[in-house]
Amino acid sequence: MELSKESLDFLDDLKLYLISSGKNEEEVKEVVEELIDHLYEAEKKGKSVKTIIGKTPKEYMRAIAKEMAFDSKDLIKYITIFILGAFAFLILSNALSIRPQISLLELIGYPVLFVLFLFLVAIVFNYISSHTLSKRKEAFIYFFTGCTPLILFIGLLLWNQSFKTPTFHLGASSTIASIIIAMAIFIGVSVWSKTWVLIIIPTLIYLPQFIINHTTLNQSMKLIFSLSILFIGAVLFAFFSLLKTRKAKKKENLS
Amino acid sequence: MSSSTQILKGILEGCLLKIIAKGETYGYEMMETLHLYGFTMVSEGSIYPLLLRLKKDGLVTTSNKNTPSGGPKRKYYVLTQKGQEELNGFKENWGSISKSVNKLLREEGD
Repeated sequence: MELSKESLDFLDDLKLYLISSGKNEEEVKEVVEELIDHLYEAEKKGKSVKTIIGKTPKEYMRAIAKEMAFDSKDLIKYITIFILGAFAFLILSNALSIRPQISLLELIGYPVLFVLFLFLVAIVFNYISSHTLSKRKEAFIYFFTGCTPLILFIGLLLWNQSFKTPTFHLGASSTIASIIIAMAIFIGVSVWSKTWVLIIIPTLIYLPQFIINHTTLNQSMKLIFSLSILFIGAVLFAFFSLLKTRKAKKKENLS
Repeated sequence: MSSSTQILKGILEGCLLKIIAKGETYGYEMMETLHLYGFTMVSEGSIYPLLLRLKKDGLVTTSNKNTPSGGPKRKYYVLTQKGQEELNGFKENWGSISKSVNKLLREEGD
């Protein structure tokens, strides 16, 4: 017997709420597994998730979260990894540009923006998982969250143009060193997190750009080609990720 | 949170310790036992935040085992020495509280 969609949705929301509230992933997994067992037994007897939790989902999630410790160790680990990742993107994009250079404002600003975005995502996930929202409202919140880093980056870019800070120019050897450091970070984080995301995304962004820049095509064709490859790659990556998640979920439900 | 809910939570914690003290058990079974003893006002899911607290305070230990029916893995609870001491304390407190409350209510009813 499989759990009802209502129960599965509640468990997904609970998982998201607890993780975005800074709880330990292992402990969250344990709590969710225990509730899966309970819901499984209860649904066999015709009970619904509403009668089991007794309160509103938000109240119940809060009650569970209150009894779980805030996992600062995990949070520090994720922020460190996130800053390292952001830093790697920054130095790689600079190293591959025509005139590799980076200002002090960019060096500090970009990682700060990444961390701010991480906190925003946590707040948004926390809010969405504990509130019953219409699809329209949910889509608007995701759209706004998705736009935020873009707006912040454009803001930083404009600020960087009008407010001069010391700029570091990269020579040939520092450019190669930057590329090696960035790649080492991407590989290191991928091995640690056991996902390919941080290898696939930079490959999609930088490899086509790098290859196309070395062709004889004119500038506009170069731009069209690299953007098309990036777009097609991103869509394919999202599609395969979704397929993988669905497969894993199906397997989880059957076990 | 109302004071009656807080009181019920305290009582429930003591009762859960007693149920676990009878032998290794799991969440759904504990809930069934509570209902059997008349705790029908308690919603099923409300025991899990309490069980989390019991574990956090070191009053119980847990282990995951496969279910005989082949369903998802099940978390079993066992009472620790500290849990047993807590249960003894609860029994003592409850004994004197319930005696006093009953005495007072009986007088009121006269």
